[in-house]
Amino acid sequence: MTVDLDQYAKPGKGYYLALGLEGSANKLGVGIIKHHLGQLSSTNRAEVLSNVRDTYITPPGEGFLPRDTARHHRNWVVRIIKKALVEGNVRGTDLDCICFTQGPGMGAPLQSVVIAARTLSQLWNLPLVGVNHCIGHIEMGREITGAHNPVVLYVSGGNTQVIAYSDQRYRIFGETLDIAIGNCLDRFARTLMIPNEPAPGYNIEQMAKKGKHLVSLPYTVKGMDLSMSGILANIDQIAKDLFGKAKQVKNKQLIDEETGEPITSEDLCFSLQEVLFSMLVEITERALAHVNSNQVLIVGGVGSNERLQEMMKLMIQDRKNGQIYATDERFCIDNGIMIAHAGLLSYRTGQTNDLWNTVCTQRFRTDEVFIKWRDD
Amino acid sequence: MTDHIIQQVQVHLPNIPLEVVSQGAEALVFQTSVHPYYSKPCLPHQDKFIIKFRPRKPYRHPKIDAAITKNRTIGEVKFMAKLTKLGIKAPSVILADFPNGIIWMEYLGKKLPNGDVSSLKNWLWYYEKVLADESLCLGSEVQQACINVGLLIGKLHLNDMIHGDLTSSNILLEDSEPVLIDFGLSSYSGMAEDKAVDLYVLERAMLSTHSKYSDHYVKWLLQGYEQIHGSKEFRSGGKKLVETLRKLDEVRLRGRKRSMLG
Amino acid sequence: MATSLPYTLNLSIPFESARQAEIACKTLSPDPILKVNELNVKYSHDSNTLTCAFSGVSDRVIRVAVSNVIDNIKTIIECMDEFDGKEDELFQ
Repeated sequence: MTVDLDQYAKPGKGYYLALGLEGSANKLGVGIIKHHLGQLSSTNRAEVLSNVRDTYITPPGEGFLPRDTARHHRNWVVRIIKKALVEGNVRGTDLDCICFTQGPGMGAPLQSVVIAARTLSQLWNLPLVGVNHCIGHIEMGREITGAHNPVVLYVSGGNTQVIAYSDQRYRIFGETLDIAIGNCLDRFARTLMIPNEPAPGYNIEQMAKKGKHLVSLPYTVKGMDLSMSGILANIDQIAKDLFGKAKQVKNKQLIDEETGEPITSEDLCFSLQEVLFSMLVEITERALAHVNSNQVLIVGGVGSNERLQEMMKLMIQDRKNGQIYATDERFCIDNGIMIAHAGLLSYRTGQTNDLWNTVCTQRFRTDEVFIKWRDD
Repeated sequence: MTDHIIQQVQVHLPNIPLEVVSQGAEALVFQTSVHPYYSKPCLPHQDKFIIKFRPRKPYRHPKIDAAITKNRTIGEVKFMAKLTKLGIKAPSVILADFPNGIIWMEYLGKKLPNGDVSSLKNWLWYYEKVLADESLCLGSEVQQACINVGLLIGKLHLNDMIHGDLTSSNILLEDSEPVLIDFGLSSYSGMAEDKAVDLYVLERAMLSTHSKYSDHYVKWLLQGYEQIHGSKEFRSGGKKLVETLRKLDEVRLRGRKRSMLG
Repeated sequence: MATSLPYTLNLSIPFESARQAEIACKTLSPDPILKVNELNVKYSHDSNTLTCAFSGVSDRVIRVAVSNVIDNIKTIIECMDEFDGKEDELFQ
């Protein structure tokens, strides 16, 4: 049995087009997606017509604050929407709906984008569809990779969750008990004054590639969950001891026990990644074993980290018929197209938001969303 | 793809017949007919034993891997020994090799009619998916099993022992008598917070694995958990129960309300 | 309510048409005010004018609120300038 996805199709039109707006963190993204009538399948894929993004970048050592991020989004949102329409070669009248991120995320940036969504929806008389950001990542990942029913590892600046589908909801098996993985990496990048351009996590990854020596750090898996704040505090302290700029402290030196070589900042990046990613892979494997699955899909910004993908691959090779699915940075990193895609699935099952129901929320759990478009 | 792992364990256990029972996340579980040093061990099953093997995890840095394997194997063995001493139902340890992550232990559990091991998860899935009859899924047999599991977990907590990874896969049923297994993440704590988190993990695992009837299952589990706290065997069980359940409410809320911000 | 929020300010913003004023009003209205006992904002529209009526416990509270609303109105107006009446157009 499958869900009928075409009861809301416009008569005489063989496809759907959705515009998606994303701005829950420091990326502003707008995308346009096309679905043809019928079930999505390997022979009836969703088509990406445009996927435009602009990232708000702060100086080294600084994170992005909600107010400034919102200002960035406001400055760019109309221009980015226009650019997406140009790239997609799409008219307003071709669109079926406008999808926007309703949460979770930072309040002010979310709100700055929904204002544009509401205005455009009234100007062009198009329905609005509110989308859960996490569901956007999951559905886009499934569509791009063709993973049918994977265990999903969702790793980004604001989220760290292991998710599996059951009974029309994406259920959270394990998650961080304190800070998100991306946040942990970003904050360590700030400690080391690593640039935020193109992304702090990306720069840590490049430095980690040059690291050789493992510094001992806590390992904090708690059942299906994990905790990262203790590890961050630990490595932050080591970094301050080694490379801190405070005048009164004389910097210590830490020596690798085996080689006698001094520990470098590259070694610290390497060690942090090794420990954090080991924990992520472990809880993912726990979820796989628990639900008897052998497919893993990695989504979210940190999902584009090659070392994480490599470790996941090594784990999955040891499991029977294991398969790993990951997307590249176009879809891993926050984007508008995933909001358009998940929103369009909602729209095709008759779910739209009237204006009063378009208020964004910072907290919006993945398992709150009823997945009407799946019934397996 | 598990062949090379079996080769790995055979290096440490030459000439021991091994049959794979299950592949968990961090360990491979084998069944064997051989006891390492007795021909007639004082165990209910004299010709069936379990060997649990934590293989090397190639994705982990070798240093991290060695430390985890050793610490968890030691922790698990000590925990099992203590449970046996306390009379809390768990497999008894026969032999262990810490650095190589091997534990030889007593065979427990049954086979379900569909051939699966009788973990609580498989047993409930058998009711939910094979029998697929709501009146059976919510019948007295399931209810009693859940209550018994609650009793067992209560007993564990009343001894200030924390399982650390309570899911329906880590509970075996011998008929409707539950047995705890898998203590790699176990710890010792008298704090209500730790006990509450243990329960919360189980509650969430039930919700995600047995979504349809999890409300009932969890209710019965907690019923058994409360029941044992009222038993005369344990002093001030009532007070501990109130504290743990209050914490459980807090922990649940924490999950719901956790900010998604960085 | 009125007595506890003594500071007030009204903004009147003219739009090109009554429809645009109405759209702006509907776009701003859904978002709730977080501290209702410190601030209240009422949006209304009459022909081509949008009115935002602020009342608050202090000048400061109103200043912050006005600044936020004006930021939002800028987005709304930019959107209208670029897209109003152009749903049939292919943008270049």
